[in-house]
Amino acid sequence: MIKAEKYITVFRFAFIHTLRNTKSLVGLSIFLITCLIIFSNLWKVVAARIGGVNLEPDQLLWYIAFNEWVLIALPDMQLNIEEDLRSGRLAYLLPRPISYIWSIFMEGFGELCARLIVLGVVTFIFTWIRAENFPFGPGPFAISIAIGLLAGCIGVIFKMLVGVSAFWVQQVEPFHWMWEKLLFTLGGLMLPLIVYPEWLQKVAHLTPFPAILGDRSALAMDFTWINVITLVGNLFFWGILGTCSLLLLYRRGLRIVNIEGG
Amino acid sequence: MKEVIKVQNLSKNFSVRKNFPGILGALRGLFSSETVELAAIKEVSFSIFQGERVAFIGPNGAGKSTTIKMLTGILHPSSGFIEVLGIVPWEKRATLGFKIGTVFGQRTQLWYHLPPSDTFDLLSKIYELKPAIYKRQLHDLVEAFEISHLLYKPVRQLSLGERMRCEIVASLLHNPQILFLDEPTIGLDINAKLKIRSLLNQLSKEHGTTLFLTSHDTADIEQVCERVIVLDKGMIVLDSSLRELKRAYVKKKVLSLTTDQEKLSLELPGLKVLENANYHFVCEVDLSIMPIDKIIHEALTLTSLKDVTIEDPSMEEIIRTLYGTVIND
Repeated sequence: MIKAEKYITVFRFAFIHTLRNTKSLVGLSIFLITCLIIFSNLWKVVAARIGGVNLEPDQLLWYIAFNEWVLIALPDMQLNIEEDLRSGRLAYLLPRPISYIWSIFMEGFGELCARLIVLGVVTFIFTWIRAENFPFGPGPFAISIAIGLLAGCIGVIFKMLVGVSAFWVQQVEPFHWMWEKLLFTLGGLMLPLIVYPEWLQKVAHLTPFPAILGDRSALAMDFTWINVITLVGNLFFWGILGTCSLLLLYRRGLRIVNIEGG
Repeated sequence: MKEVIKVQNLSKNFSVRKNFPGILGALRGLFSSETVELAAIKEVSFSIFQGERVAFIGPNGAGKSTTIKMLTGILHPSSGFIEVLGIVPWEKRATLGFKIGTVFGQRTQLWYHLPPSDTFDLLSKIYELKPAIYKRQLHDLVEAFEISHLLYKPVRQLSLGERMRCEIVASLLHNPQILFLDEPTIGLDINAKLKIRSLLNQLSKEHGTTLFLTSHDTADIEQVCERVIVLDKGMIVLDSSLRELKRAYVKKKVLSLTTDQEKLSLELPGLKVLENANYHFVCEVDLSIMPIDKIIHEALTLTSLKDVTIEDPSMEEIIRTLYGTVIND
């Protein structure tokens, strides 16, 4: 109970800390709106030229909104881990009676929640005004929001996985670049997955990317309970796999610090 | 007195990947897995007792940080034994974490956009402090470090000196028995440095907190510590009290005389004149060649003296002498 309280407090302060950083939130909101405008126009062209996007124009806007909302809210926890390792701050934090990796996760989760709330308000109001309709019932909308939060958590875990690679490579930027490009392409952000060759769509569905972005956003447009169960199951699978891999890599990385000093 | 840190025959070796010079060397390095073994710490032994204020110094790369990392349980030694407060650090790091504190001058544990009070609240949870104990401890520290006006100001608005005072309070909330300080005054202005040093002294005297300080600022050592351990190339080259260090390494003194004569014609072996004008005669005396009393006696034969001041060289000078003799021997 006492241990849980530590992590809840880390979450609480990370949440407040993010809300206090108003300049960053304003910047992210402007970036988000810019992305919504660019991608909605890009997708309109794709739909007209290639076809295969089975969404009405207003649904398309909402699909992109759900994608961008989670994507931009994801905190860059990989940079925090890299910085802690490179600056030697890790040596300062490790002796404290709290797990470093779980405290970083709770910090990321707190930041994610604060950003999801602020960017959610910006995204959904902007899209509502632009699309001129709100094609959701309260139930499906609430569930889509909850799944967005879950997908964001998985995103944080995978970004942390990129971050712990710093134990071996010191600079995580190349790995993060790869993660981001794969997320954009296989997650259905740059182009709808449906325009890809069938084999590539199958490959994409063997990764966590569609569950974090495209499939999740599509669910909001095509809400059925079977889709919800499939997607949540998918996200839990990737969440458990990601967490196990993270803990395993972190322990191995920590062994390097214990032996080699980082 | 209770022994709080016990280090016996401590050694630490690192395997470092071999680097080859030049472009071809860089290419070769891509395919080579050759490593070289570097001894960072070699058979180091020392003990520290409760309430001691110890400076752990040495040139860059001497092995100070490596030793501190082993004392706090982050790094496992290659051989040897360490016990900190009866705990083997790398075996029970979390347990030890409740009993020690760390202040690293260039690192922060304060949340940038939040006031220090929020970080303190978080640390009270991390160190599992009972609310009443936390409240009392915070109250005492806020009074001692005079930070009541800073408690609710976002950290980003604090000056470096104010932030450092808050950092030390954050490290002391759980009332650690040993405080490890790595460059605690780096980047601070002179007033902030003086304040931090006086607070550290007060803390050690009033609460019996053991201070283990690493700093390149010799004034930190002089004004806070009573014992000095000098490390070089992974070995202890000197372990003595500050007084003993001064006695052994002060080979020169600065003598200032205020005389009746505008200029004093005093020329003696071992004497280097630094100033000789306006009734002031200042010289550096090499004590191994010329005793001070002889110079004063000689001066009195030439003029009458209105004032005599004898100064030790600065701590920086002493450390420089020390590095130049002990370390180069």
